[in-house]
Amino acid sequence: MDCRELKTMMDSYISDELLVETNHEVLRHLENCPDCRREMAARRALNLWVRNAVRSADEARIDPAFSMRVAAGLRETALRPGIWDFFNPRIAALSFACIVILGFGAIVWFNRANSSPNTEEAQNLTANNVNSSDLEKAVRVSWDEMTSHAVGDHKNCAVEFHLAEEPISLDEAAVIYGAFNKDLDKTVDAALQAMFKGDAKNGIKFLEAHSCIFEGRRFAHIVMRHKGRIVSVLVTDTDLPAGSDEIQTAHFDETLNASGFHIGHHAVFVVSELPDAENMTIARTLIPAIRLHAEKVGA
Amino acid sequence: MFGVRKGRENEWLAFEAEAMPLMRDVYRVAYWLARDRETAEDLTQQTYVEALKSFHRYAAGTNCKAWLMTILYRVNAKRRMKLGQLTLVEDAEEQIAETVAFEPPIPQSLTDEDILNAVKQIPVRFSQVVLLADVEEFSYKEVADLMQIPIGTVMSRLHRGRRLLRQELTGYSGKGRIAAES
Repeated sequence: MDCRELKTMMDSYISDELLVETNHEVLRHLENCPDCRREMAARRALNLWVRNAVRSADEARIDPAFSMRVAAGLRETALRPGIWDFFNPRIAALSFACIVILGFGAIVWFNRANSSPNTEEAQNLTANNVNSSDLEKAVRVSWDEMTSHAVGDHKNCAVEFHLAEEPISLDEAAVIYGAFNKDLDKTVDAALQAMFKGDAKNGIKFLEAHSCIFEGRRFAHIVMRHKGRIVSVLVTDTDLPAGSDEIQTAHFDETLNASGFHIGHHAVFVVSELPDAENMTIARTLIPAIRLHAEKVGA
Repeated sequence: MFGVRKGRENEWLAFEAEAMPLMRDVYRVAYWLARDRETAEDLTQQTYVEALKSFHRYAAGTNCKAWLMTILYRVNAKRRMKLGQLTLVEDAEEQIAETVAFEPPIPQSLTDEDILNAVKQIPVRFSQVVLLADVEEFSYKEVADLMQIPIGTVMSRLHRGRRLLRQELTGYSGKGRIAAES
């Protein structure tokens, strides 16, 4: 390495930017070259002077007040509560889950609302799809249950007076439960009196009429006496599909007979200890009268 | 919520420990960039605001001073761009400097005032490299990174800057205030 080469490297040597091998070459040259050694020393000295002068210059020295002001501002900025301070990951996760569930529910509801027919159609379809024998069976079970209640009401109300709830008049029932109750006793009595007209020995006598409840089912209850036996005509509301005027009979406790028929939204039962045929005759007598009564009150 | 607050406090403590002690160095470089106290303070403050915002990107234990200077230079570039002062320096101009053969003798005794005046006399683009390399003791690579210029340009500016500084100081010497070495 000659002097010219060294001079091109002096800046990098002073800045300690040379490779180790090149550094060694520089040092070897400096050992044997007083001129370059002097130049290098001068440059190093200048470097040092500049460093010291600039670092100690008052004009380039930061104002402590400014420094403290900046530090205080930065500290306030850094520690100021941000929006994330009010962010709770658990609540956020819960909220997100709720939104997802609600969103999913809304989609399902929307799809169903759009894809399924209206309620009435759905009901028809459902009814059509139900096996007819199953439907008949269900109707039969409901009818038997109503018949059972009618017989129970006859025993507990007309025979033994064990009703849990005080009966009300048919006029009151007409106001509260429907116009069908209005004058129902007169309709029944008139029809039966007409049937037994002229039979002085075996006439039928009106005893009592009211609206009572047995095991949750309300009946319009007309109590008659025929051949020394209590005869109950019990009428209750029903949503069972209307059938024919066919009278259905049932037997209870070996002595009680029940004959029932269905008109519109009403099921009518005649319950008594009369023989089955006589009980059925009374029921059959009531069919046209009750139908007429229903038409009259618009029930 | 407590975790977020605690995390912010920890970040501030780290920033306070690493960055805040370097404010006087940042201000010094800012001063020599702007050459007036008010602008230097603006630059310093803006640099620290930016640094605080992006402190999460700073890798702890690396050269915090170089990281702050990089931000300072970016802030200064934005400032100069706003003022329409940002100009591109042709390398060719600096290459011409390399061809200048004259190397005046370095004065033997100099006052701080002489040196500071000499620094002020040379163009900022040269004085900046001299200050960053010789005063702040950044490597060529670090200077190149924070000034966004090639290392070759750093080397040529440093060479030119030192020589210009030497010429300026010789001028003071020529006025009889200091004695020339030879």
